[in-house]
Amino acid sequence: MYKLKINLEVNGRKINKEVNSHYRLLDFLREDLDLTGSKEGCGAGECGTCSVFVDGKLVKSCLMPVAKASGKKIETIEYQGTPDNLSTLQKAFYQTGASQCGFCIPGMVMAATSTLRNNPDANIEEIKEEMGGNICRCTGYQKIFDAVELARDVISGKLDPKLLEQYSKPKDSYLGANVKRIDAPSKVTGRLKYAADMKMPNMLHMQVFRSTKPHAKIKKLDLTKAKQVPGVETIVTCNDVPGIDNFGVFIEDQPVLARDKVRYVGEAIAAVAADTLEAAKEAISKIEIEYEDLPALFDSEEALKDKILIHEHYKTNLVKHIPIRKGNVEEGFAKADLIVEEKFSTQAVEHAYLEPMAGVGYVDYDGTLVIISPSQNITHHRHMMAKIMNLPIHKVRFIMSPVGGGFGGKEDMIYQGMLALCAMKTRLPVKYVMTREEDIISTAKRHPSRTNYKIGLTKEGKITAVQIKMIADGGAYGCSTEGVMRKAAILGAGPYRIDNLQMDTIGVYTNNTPSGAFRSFGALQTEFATESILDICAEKLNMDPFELRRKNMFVAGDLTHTKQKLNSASIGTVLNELETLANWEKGAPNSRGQIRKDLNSNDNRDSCFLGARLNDKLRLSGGIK
Amino acid sequence: MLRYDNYFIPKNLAEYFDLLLEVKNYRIVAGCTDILPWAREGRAGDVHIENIIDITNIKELDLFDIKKEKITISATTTFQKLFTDPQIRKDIKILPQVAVWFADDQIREQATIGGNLVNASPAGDGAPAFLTLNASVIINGRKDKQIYERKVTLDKFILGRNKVDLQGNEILTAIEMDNTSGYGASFEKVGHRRSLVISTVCVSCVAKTDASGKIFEDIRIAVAGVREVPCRLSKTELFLKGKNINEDNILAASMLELDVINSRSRKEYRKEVLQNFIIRAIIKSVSERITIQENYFDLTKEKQLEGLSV
Repeated sequence: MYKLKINLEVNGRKINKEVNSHYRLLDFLREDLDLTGSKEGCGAGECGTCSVFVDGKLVKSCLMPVAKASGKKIETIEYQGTPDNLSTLQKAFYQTGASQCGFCIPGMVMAATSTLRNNPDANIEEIKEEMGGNICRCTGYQKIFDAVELARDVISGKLDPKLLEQYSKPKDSYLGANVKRIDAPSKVTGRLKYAADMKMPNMLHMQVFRSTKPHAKIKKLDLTKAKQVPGVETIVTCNDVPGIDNFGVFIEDQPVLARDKVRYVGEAIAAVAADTLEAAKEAISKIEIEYEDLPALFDSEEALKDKILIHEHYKTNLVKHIPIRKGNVEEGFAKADLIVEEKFSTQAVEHAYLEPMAGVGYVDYDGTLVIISPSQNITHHRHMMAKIMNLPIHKVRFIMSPVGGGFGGKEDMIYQGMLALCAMKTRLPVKYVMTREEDIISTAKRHPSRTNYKIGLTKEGKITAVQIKMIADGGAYGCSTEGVMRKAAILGAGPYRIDNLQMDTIGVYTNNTPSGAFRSFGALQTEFATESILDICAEKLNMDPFELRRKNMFVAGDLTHTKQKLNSASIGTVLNELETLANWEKGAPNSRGQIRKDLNSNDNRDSCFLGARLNDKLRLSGGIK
Repeated sequence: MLRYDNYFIPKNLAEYFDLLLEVKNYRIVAGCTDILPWAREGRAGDVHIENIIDITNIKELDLFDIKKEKITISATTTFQKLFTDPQIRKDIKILPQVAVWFADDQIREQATIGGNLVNASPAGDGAPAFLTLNASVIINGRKDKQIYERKVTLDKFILGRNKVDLQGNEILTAIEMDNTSGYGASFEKVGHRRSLVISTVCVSCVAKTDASGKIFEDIRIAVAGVREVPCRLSKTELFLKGKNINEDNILAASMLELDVINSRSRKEYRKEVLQNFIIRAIIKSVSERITIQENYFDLTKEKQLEGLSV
């Protein structure tokens, strides 16, 4: 590898070093200096997890070749404060609970530091604007902005520094109490090590060769040239799996690496472990493959016809059908004054956790296979891994590294099997870090859905019957589809009294990216349909949507659609709160004039605008003022 | 991943031209904010370029000259400088406005105006703003050991998508623009979010009223994001010049050149946005002198259709 000499100052230390010439400043900080507080969330300048100061100016270190940093003064999150001596801003992040998964937080602290250095009295709009280059997936930003405003006022002397240490003591409940997050100091200082931050002696780097075809037979896979790349230690394929090469949360249908055929674009076919990332990447580029295209299936309703089979031995593309039958829907519809039928669809959604998938695998001194990864389901993964590797369960250990955001995306086992194969084969520690693009293309998404909905109501607004059929695209492998269908069926009709209910949720295989766990686990897709259709019904019945819901809502003592007795029901309280907070203008949705009266009230948010820092009349918020 | 063997940072133009003779397989870079995201999966993938030549330290490119009539600034000026420089903020109001919409504060610290123009992206934000400042680019080259300079107006410099008028070893060194002291300005842009967003439509407008504040003395409007090459709306400008600043004239002007849209997708959407942007940009550019309620322009269906049929 080509090297170049650089001479710079990092966090007050003078450094004179030979570095890989193609390194970005971020690579140099993380790989050569072990300053892993700067994270790589996207590698394309979009997320701000890698923000550092270069000569006092905040930049994204993933967009700066290290050669450019030579002769400059670099300041990273590690220079801002330590867990036992936090900066004011870090204390404020701690106090407001701004650090959740913590992965964006080092970059956020840097952006906030820069904002207050540039403008110590920045107002909230100026803060939002200047921090616009940093993304957080957990907080919704409010706690972060609260922290910056708190720090600003403490620094300027307007507020007592004691406020930074003020937490409330929970009395009866932790709900609503501001309790100390014990992991916050390690997060706001960038000291917490996520999987990608870990290093072990003689550690290898893994890269994955992935399918470019949605559905194809693998006719030939030639690793000869790839194996000759200097630094390559091993290349594993499905033939290296010692145990049962079939895993899954509910249905065991997935091989660690594609066996005989590929079922989606992005499916792993082979994994290379090499002494450098660069060598592993080069080896990947030298793998040769021949496919024979198979007709592919992208449509979930088409999948139910079973003309093309994704998993031939199952003889069907049906993953799971969950039916619920309650009362008699025909009778219910017969009693209705109004019947509404609608179709709803939702799309695949990426979890967009800020921490891309990453993991480290190694074999311990006693022969135990150890996998460190931000898995949201380590116990299950461990059991699956024992079968895959043909190891007794006590010879498999899973360590959950800090999860830099999961949202269900890290619940399905995706890459841990490949790490295990490489580690067992080489007996060396192996690390794998996905790029953002690789993560998006290969990991499970939210189930895209299509829902046919029929609802009957009396003219007074009482629901008489509901019939729901949802078909969900499970993609190429089962993953969490079965559980998602269950949740969709159980919760989908909403917290409403429905005497006559027919609910069917159906998950199918297609050649799309696998669908898996995602916040709300299926309930979102069907509940979206339920709440939307209730608004449509409110309009048709000329009724306030809040009232319509109140007429039908569950109360304590009711049985849910699956016969669970409710000891309490909070929907009434929630509806009241919502109505008050939104300054809701009462009436049917279509009864208002051109402009709603509840818009632009104090608690409504203004639309986004830019230019808060232009300091002239051009502040545009909904028009010229 | 972008891989390269050597990273050269020439100190002056002579060194730069010498280097071009010595090395093959090179790429010229400035801010690097485009090349690094480009060399990733989904775009160019893993790329190996033997030599990178970084022009940001060339001493002849250290230029920031603001005169009464013209300003001449180096091609390696960062967008953040356009946002923060007090004199620019005072006199050339369109520049901080385009800057605030450009990427984010951190990328603006690195991204250069020259890089933005040389990339010649149809969605580039810099070009429409510079077009409204009647910008020319200054190009240096070396022939028979002699360094020469030529000047091209920006509209002639951008030839097409990612295509500009740079020959052989030529380098874009500076941009010369009108000092628009006394002009109002407005930059309108829409994309999927606020920061770090690629324009779906953007409009740049600078305007000056006469002493009474009632007549358009000069107005310049440019659009991008809706066609391969950004352009000025000269018919619209001509229509407004010398006319009274009122709602009817602005509305009539907003319909004149919606046929400049030649995008690959979402044409109808872009037309609607473009017309609204033109109206808003004109009003904002003269709003320091005159008050027009933007909500006067309730673009009812008939008015919109009228606009679209032009």
